Amino acid sequence: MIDLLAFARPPIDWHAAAPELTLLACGALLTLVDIVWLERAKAVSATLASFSLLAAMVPVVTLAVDGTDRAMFGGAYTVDDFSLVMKAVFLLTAYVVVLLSTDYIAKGDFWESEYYQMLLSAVLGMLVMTSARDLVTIFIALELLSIPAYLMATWHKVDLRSNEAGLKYYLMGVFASAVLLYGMSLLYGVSGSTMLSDINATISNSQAEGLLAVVVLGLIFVVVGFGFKVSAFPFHMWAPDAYEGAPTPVTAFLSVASKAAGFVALLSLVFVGFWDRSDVYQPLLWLLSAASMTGGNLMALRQTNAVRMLAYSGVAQAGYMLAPLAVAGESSATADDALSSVVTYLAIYAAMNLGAFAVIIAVARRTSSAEIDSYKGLFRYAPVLTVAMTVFLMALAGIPPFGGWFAKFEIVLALLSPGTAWGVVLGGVVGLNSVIALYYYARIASYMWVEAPPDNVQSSSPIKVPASVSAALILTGLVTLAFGIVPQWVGHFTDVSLL
Amino acid sequence: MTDFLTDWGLTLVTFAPLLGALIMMTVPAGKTHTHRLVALFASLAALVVGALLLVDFNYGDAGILQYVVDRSWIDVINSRYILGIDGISLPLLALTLVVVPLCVVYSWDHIPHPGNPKAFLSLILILETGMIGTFVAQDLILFFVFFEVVLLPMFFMIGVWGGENRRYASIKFFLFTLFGSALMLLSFLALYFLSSDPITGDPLRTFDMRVLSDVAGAGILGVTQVWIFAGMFIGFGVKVPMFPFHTWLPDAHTEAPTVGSVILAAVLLKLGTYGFVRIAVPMLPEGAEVWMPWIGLLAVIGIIYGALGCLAQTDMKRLIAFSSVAHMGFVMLGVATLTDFGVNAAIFGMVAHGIITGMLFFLAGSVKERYHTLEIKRLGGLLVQAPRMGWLLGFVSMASLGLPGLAGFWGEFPAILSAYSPADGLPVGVFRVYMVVAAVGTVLAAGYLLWLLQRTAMGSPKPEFADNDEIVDVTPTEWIAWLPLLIGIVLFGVMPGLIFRVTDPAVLTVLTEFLG
Amino acid sequence: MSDLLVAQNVFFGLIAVVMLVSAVRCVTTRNVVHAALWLVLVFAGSAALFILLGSEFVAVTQVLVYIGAIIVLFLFGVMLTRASMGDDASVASEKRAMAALVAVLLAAVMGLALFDSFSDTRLVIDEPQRFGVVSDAIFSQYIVAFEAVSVLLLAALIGAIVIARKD
Repeated sequence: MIDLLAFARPPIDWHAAAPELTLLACGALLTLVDIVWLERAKAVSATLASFSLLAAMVPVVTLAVDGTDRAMFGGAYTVDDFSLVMKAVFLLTAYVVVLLSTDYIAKGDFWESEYYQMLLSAVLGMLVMTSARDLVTIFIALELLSIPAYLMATWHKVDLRSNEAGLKYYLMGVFASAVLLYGMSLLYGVSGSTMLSDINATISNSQAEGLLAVVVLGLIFVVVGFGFKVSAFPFHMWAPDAYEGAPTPVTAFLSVASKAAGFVALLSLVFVGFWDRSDVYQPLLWLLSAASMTGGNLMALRQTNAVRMLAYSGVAQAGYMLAPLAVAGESSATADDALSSVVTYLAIYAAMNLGAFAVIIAVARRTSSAEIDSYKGLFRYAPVLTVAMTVFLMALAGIPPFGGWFAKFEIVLALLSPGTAWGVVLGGVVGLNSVIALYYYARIASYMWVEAPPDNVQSSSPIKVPASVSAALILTGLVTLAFGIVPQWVGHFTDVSLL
Repeated sequence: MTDFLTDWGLTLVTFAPLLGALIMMTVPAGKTHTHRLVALFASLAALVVGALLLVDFNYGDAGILQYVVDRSWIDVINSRYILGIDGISLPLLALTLVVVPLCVVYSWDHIPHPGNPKAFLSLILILETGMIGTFVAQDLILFFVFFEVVLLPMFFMIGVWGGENRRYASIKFFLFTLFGSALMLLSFLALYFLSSDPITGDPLRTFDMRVLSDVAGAGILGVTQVWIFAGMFIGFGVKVPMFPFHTWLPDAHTEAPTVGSVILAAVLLKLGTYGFVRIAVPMLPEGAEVWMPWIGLLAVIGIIYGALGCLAQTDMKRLIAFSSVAHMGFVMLGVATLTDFGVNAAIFGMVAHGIITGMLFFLAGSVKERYHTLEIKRLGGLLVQAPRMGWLLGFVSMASLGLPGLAGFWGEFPAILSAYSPADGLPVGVFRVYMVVAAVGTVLAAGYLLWLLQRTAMGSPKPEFADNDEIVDVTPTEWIAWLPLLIGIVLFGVMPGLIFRVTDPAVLTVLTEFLG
Repeated sequence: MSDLLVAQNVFFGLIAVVMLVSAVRCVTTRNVVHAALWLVLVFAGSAALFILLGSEFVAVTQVLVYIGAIIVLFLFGVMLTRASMGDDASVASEKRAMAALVAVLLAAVMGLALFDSFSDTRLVIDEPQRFGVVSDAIFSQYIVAFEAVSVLLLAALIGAIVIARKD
């Protein structure tokens, strides 16, 4: 009956899988070193983790140089320009996060080697996500990147707020996974396949008209599920508490890498899985985008804590990134524009947001706080950090010549390119929100530059910034500036297509 | 030499100040003197290159762009690094190049509280790069980037070195301008997507200002042009500032440090009017025709409102700020006529207002330094205590109210005259009414300036300042910083042709659509 | 309609009623342990449904994972955290009405959608799905996911130990 010999081993392109395998091997090595050397392993774990990430960059670069698109398992796992660019973004983001963590984790009351093991596992999940083109792989990748992240959020065990952060993030994340999974199962039910390309073919088929209700429901559930992951309004409730309570380098990781991973999944789903059903996903994403921008910005205005403010600003930034998806289905040219603009935004957002968190970590060494009031008078005793923070905040606000302007510009360009009324209106919403957002970014900037330092902060000597954090600052600062002055450098790489 | 200037001149003149700022960042903060020298040297370097360009400029062909640089920049959005100057950019470029070194000189011993000359001078230099870049950029996105680069340094200059209400004033300035630029950018993008080749009808998809001016809005419906023009109108109008978007200006001027006010008045406000002349009018002729009567209306409202505002002020700096609103009203009235005569007058008005109002703010700053107040009713008897400064105030006030023979006259008088016969298609009767109202505005201007003079310079010093040693006459630093401006006021007053000769051919090019 | 189909329909109806009653009792009972036991019935019912559909693998998984592992873990959790074993008034939340409303709405929307799409579709089961097919799929198309799960389990294990340790 069942012919065991009938199983054919699927061909595996080892080069295509090399980034993931390299990271997996290095992660395993890190675990082994930890088991064998015990206490002594602490000294090398951060170094080993950063080398793992850089080592995984090597095959990414060779694949990029090679330039051919590779697909395995009938297209379930694809290595193309899009996935390579995002792999590079994830690896470099994680590298910066390691730089931010090195001193923070070593000095604090943390489990050190295990922290980096968690980080590498999450990054592995992200790498898988960039190539996943079927529902099962996407879901497993999502869990692989989420579960270590839940644990990392609660890594500061003695701090109740960290516990709260981890638990909230976990509960909301699991709830979102459930919603997502239900949506996926509906889509599978309609199409009978987990492959995104098959799903697109089935749901855009005229015979699928009778199944419209289930398709709509499935799409809504999937988008809502990822709405939690990218912290889009109104599914953002977990973000401020989780960001505030988690160790700050973890927050940086959550706000950049985790969010970007959600977007990567959303992009593959929209462009490969749903693209022909623009009548369903466009209005949905339009609403989600407009609500996120406006809601995130309005709530950010009221914050008194810099991390919470960045959490809400992250909600707004998610809204900007969702915006081009609301017009993506107009034509294949628009789709390419929209995809490129979101990928550009993700790359630039990673640099500027990580930079902002690097400054927050450095400043907290003196003030032991992330309250916005504690930034008053920073210019008097830490001028370099002040300039750096100003650059990052203004980049987030989208002021030229810092990176963020080009990101926003590409978004608006993509929104206006099809020339539909909905796109133009959403472009206007983006413009209006940029002005609202400027207010809270500029408020921190003017606190730092204008006010006098508060009494409880010792402001007579400059802040000593650890070497690794300085390296992170220089790296993110240079990238933020370079992408703003010569946007072609990022635009060249993010000019990708999924259709 | 000419080859070098052609290829590198404009790039050098734009980025020399920025280079200076970068060098300053590597010098430790304590070495104040080095910082001053680097700042002065960088701004002078830009001035020298600029002077070479000025000498080498082909004045016979002032109507076409010269020293054009065209390199690839952001290929993914078809935006290129294009620089170039013609007769419209040239006077404004020269104005910027002269004003900034003077500001550096003035700052030699006038760094406002809380000090830190390193940061202060770096910001001036970054500001200079932004301003020059805006005047030489010939690509909409490049223009936009430079236009925005100006924002941050000014924000910090007001925010850090400003007066009591600096936080409010700086954020207000920032938000108003950014709101304007957001709309302006949307308009630029609309131009990008909608412009098409007039012959083949293919979409152009370019940000090249030369091309967009040449096609003059071809392929864009009149109604659409009106909407796109509206976006630019708000973007540039906030910067000018036009009534009713002017409310940030008095606050910003009052709180800004002296040098900040000078740069704001002398150059920054011109970015807006320059944008109208360079971008909005030639690229959207049909939109311009619909909007111009309204712009003219807002311009004359600005003239009267600014003048009345001046009469109500109790603070000398705030008074000068309101006078800026009125003067920029004359400039906008000139632009609104869409005639050769009017636009030339507008450009002259920009330069003249830059020199004169810049000088007035310098004087206000020096008065403030001596009296520690600018409240008009506490001042008085400047002619007695510091006679030279008093006479200077008198002289510049005369220039500001448009006395024939001084620079201010040639900005105002032709602008008013041009409203008598606006371009074809504009309502003649309406513009004649504007002319009369604007003329009344000049009388009011004479009123508030003479009143200011009477209350501050004339009379005897108030008892609280009668025996104050701090109140000294003009210092050598001040003379060095002011003399070029004073010479400019007289020179351009006596020989207005120096500027008109350069601007006229370029204005004719810009107005091709309206002159038939 | 063949006899087999009639038998299937009858059994489906029976199982569905059992599941519905158990599910309602699961959320209305005030005793946590009882709730867990009601949940066992719901899971067992769904396993039975899978058998009816000829998906033996999923049915066995359902029993092994949900009843065998999750419910047992759940009961362990209840006992270890010293929660009250008897009726507990605090289990009743004040937001019951709201929760009921949301549940009814959601059920209505999803039920309508499913009914609208599939009410006239006839399920054809030619041949029960066999373990071999599933395992072939796991080791070919889903190999990446399968390997990723192993990393996921290891990471979760390490992380859980770190979080649970008392130092």
